[in-house]
Amino acid sequence: MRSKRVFFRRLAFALEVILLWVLQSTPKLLPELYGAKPFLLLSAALAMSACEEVIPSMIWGAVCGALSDISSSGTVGFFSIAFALVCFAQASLLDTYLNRNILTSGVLSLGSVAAVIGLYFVFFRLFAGVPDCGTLFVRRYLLRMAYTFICYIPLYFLNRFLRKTFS
Amino acid sequence: MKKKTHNRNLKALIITLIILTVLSVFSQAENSLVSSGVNTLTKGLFRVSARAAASADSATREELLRENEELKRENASLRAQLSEYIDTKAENERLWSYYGLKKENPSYQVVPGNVIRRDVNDDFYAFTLDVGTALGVRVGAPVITENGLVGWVSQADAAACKVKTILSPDTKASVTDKQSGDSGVLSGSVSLCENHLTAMTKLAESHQVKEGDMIVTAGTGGVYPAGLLVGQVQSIEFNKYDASRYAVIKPYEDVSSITAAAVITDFDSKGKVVKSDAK
Repeated sequence: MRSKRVFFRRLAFALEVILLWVLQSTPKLLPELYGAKPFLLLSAALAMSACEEVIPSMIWGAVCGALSDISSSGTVGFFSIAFALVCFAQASLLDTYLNRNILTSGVLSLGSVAAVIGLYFVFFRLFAGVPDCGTLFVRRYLLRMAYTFICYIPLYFLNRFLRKTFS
Repeated sequence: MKKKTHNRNLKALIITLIILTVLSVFSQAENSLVSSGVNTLTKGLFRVSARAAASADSATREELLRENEELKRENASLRAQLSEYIDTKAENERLWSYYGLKKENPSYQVVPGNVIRRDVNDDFYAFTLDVGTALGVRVGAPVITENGLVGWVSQADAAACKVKTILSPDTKASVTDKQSGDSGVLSGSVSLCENHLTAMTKLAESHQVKEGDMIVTAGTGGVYPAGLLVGQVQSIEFNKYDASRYAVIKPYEDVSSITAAAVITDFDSKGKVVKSDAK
């Protein structure tokens, strides 16, 4: 009985990941904030890690990251590793030292969003020598971080609901 | 007990990171199995969602029903027309202006495709087309629409290819001013991309480029065929960092709203460096 519930919960998460991947990538579907679009797979991965155990969180993070990598560069790489690490870290902290609630997971997720998107900017824009990096960071990346975090909040409550329903 | 769980979690993390690193190494090659497989499996889903998003601005159900009735009446009257006219009209709609381009340039091999994805992490409106190496698309191939050059293929697998646009700083195309004959290098920038503009850099000191001039590809590098429309000169600016002048170009195509494009997979002067006749 328990394994059935776990199966349905993971199926729900899988459908959520696929749906968000399609939503994120489809042109003209999501509204843009001054040209910035939300990184929905990152929001989903962090929302899942706020509700799941450590190893499943890390695996979901790796899956979301791999899908982001394939959309972005066609190769598995930065996002899969980054997502796996931040989801592992967040889930570990929530499992051992912190209470699982919207406030603590929100703060951790905000830091994770800033870290992942910030590192992407540093490695793939700053180090790549893209001119006018400062303008790019302020006008696009800060907005992207904010938009991604805003999308995290409803996903947190959705995943928490799925966790409670199928646990 | 807690320490045991913690150790187990750490081991799982290390194993996952090793697997991801190995996957990353194996997926680096062009036409990698991982991206080809995922793109092949998900192409249908993305096509449907892209079409649904593109038609989101369409009319309400009542308006569509009314329009349907009107179209039925119009269709009945059209049936009375000469069959040759109907065939020619259907053929023109289907063939699109790419084939007009091909008629003028019979050496062009053109593969039309649809935009199925836009990368949320790209800052210069890169997009993914649903055509890949299986149809002859290769990295570096120019991508056009009916209004002119829009980008080049930066990655390709069997089922799809990613296109970087002419607004990206990674784009370096030799271009020519149709009116003055001056040559330069087309390259994007962050500040110009905000307004969907790009730049023609490396202008000579004695250039005669002026506002309103038409910019086309020069075809000297063997990467882009000569004569592809790019855009119109909007202004001439001064780059304070390298003390050079550049022309701000407004592309003829709005790359942020493209829903379909075509890849030129082959043309006569491909791979041949041609001496420029331009100034």
